[in-house]
Amino acid sequence: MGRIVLRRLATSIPTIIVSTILVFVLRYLLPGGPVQAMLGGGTGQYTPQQIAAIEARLGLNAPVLVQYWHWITGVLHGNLGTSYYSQQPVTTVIAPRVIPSLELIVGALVVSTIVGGGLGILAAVNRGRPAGRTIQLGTGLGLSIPDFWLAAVAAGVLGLTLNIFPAVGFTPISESLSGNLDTLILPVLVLSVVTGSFLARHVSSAMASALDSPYIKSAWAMGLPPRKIYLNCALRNAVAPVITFIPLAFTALVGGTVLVENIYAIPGLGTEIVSSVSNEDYPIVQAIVLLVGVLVVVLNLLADIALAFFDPRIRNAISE
Amino acid sequence: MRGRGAPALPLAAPAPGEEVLRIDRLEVEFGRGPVRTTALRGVNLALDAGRVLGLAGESGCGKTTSALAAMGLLARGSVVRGSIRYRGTELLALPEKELRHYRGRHLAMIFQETTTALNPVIRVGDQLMMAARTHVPGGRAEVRERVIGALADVRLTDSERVMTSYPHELSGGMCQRIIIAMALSCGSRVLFADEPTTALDVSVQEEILELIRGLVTRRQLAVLMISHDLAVLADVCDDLAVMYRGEIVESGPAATVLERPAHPYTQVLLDCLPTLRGRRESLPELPPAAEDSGAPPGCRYRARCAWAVDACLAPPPLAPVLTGQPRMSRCWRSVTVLEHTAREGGEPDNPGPDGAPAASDNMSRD
Amino acid sequence: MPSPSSGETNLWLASGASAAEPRPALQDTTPAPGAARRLRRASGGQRFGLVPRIGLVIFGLLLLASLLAPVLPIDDPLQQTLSLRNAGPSPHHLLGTDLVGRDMLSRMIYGCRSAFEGVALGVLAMLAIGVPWGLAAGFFGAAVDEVLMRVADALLSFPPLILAIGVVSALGPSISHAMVTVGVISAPGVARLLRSAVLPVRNAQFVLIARSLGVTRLHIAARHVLPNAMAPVIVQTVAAASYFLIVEAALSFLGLGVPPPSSSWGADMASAYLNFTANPAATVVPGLAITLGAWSISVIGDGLRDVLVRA
Repeated sequence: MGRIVLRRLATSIPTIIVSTILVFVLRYLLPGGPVQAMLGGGTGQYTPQQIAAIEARLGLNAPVLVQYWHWITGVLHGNLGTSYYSQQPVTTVIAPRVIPSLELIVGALVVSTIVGGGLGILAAVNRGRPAGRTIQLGTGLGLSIPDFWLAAVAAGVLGLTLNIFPAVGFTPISESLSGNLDTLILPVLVLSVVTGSFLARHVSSAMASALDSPYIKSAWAMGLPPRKIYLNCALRNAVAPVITFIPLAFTALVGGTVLVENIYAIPGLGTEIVSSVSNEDYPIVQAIVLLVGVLVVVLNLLADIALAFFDPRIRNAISE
Repeated sequence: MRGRGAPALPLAAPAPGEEVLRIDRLEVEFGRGPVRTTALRGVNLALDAGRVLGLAGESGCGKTTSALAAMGLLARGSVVRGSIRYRGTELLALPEKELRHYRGRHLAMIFQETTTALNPVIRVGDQLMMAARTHVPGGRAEVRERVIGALADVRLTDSERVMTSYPHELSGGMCQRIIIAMALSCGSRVLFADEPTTALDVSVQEEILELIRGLVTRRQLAVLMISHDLAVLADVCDDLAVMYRGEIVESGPAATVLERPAHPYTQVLLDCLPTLRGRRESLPELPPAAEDSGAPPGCRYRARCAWAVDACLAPPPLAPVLTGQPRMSRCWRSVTVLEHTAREGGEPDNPGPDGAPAASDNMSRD
Repeated sequence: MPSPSSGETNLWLASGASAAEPRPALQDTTPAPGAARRLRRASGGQRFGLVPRIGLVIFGLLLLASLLAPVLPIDDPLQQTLSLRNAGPSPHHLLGTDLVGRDMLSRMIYGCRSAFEGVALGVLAMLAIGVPWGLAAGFFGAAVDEVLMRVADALLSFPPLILAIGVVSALGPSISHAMVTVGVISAPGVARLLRSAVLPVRNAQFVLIARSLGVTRLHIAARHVLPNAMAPVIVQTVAAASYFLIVEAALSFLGLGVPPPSSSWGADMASAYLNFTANPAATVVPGLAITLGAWSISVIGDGLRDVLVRA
């Protein structure tokens, strides 16, 4: 097993490096260069020499590779730069916003895995029957609905009009647990609809093909009780798609979280990145993009390792 | 869930030669409306303890369907009529919940798939234990001993290694033995073997067939061996039944049926087997099988039969070929066929310009 | 009837009750006939289903609406009639008006144009980058392949929305910036497909002979690789198109796409949402339009997949 972990790590590291390069390159897309952006619209008052001096001070006229190196070593030491807008270190600005976003994402992952997974299993077991067909239709619909629309409508109807749940605002967990859950329920449910539908379909097709396989036929022929067949035999084979699903779901959820946070006014990384964009506060945007990118690669890595753990065939294939 | 044997059934071993399974007038239909097909039309089979019954025929003739019907494993939406009695109990009258207790514990089925017939992510030993503990009462240790005993019966003596392996680490032949061991350890008395050796190398085929033969004798199993390959059946069967399009067209002791078939179709199947001695100009060609719907009444093999005469417009019954012998054939001209197939490469007796049958045909039967 | 005791034919014949199954298609590496003919001939055995047909009709209507918008007898979508804000449906305004009195129906129709414009941009960008990428990785092999695929992996793992936000934040909000970015982000998926279409052909005999005769790799790509790859690429592109529609709406919703006051379903939703209780329809209707558009495209994709991809 250890060998597998090392091999996966080895392939992940170049991916991470490429990701960081991509993010770094974003800087250079800024019209007028980084200094222009940093000084906002006020560059008019600086003479070209002064601008050049600032550039030199910030190390911006060194070769690109050197700049990258400075930046990346800084990142590894926890220095993500300084916000243009508030002049505070990026890490200070971002840190308190991580937890609300995490709550949303993890909550949505858990809910969509449990509900989506359960629905997927039910759909596979009830193939061809009305229950199975209803689930297929439902998930098809769930996949097509834009999550921000659902979020807006849910907030509007359930929150503003019917006043069941708070439509906007956020109560941090440190203040009150029930308040925290209250403000989280709507956004988490909304986020779970799309990812849950996706997972349900994934699991249902994996389980359906497992149920069609010869070993299930043998299990029936040997008189194994249905519950055992479904749980032990088929389910084990449905675990793999769920594990593969989680990094994909995370990727999708990140986008959804940005939208949902903005709609429900939750002070997380999503609202931060959008307001930073309108404030032209690029270091923050860059830091968040970097964070997310690296996290996704790490999640993929963990999923691959978990997959190898669960499926002995992959273990053997890899060690060859 | 452990050790739930079939309720109210004698658990004593059957006597050698005792009839354990009887299939009577079995009819099976699939599909609905325009795509309704009749898979089986009145099949009669009997399995005796300690004997192997072979079921031969081309693809789609209904061999597998017969076995699946007995096991209750036909797809949802199939219509089944007739009678399947296992040692006195009518299986077709049982609800699924009760029928389930018979599978594995009394009736088992093995298939063509070998390695893929076992769950790829569970160790072999765990799978064997799971199956055995469903049917056999007793603690883990006892059941484990029984499983190891079954493995020894199928000549897998390195039981430790086998039990801890995953299916993909083992060969096809070993996997097929393991599945047979699974059936044995559950206590099965009746084994339906659906093309069990087709996916194996020829040398391994021999071993498995020999193994089955040995088990039949030692444990007095009743085996239904399904195969399209007459050579395989010749090896291992005591009795043989040949099916064509949902009906049995010939049956009897294997040796006699294969040596001197009494039905044209059986003869054709035999002709297709290449022989090491002698040469053939070309293999006999079978015209493609006709479609089910719109078939004219009469013998279902008529369209492809080289022996067909006008009388074959009436469907022949399955009847004894010669009185006193256990051989049956579904052909008006079975006696003629029998006489001619005794000679090598028997040609159809020229029926004459107006199709009048030869004198020796028993046309008086109805 | 072939001899039953030969191994290969046994496997083929032995299916017993399942004789109805067709023989699995072998890997086809013979040179392909013209692309159009191949598409017409190719069939996974299934017709274009009922649901995909419905999707096609809906998509067609939307497309028609967006193309004919300037000549349709509808109001100017930018015209504000402040006396009629948040009005319900009326003979003059079939879908009512939004918070500044603009006619919803015409805004929806013109929003169609933005939506399809966005989708077209995204698809063009995706194919323009993805196809050469995959071909290059496949043909040039070794180091080039390795590098290109690593970059592909990195790009694929990025949440598209985040990266789009990142790029758009640097370049400024505009529909072309947004959609070209999204297209580029989706290019690796297409590149992968093309690459796997190139690989079996690259070392085929007839290719080596052709190349020794001076045929360029480009010609080989066009003649032999692309026809084989077309079916999955088309299916993938249509699926991506459905996604692009939603992403364009999402970015516009966040203010990073179509700049106001142009009509865009997403942007309209954003402004309407703040006044939900006053005019719920203004939020619901654009969302319905987005859902309808995305759904119709994605079922077309499902239908195409059933027809084009051999099972």
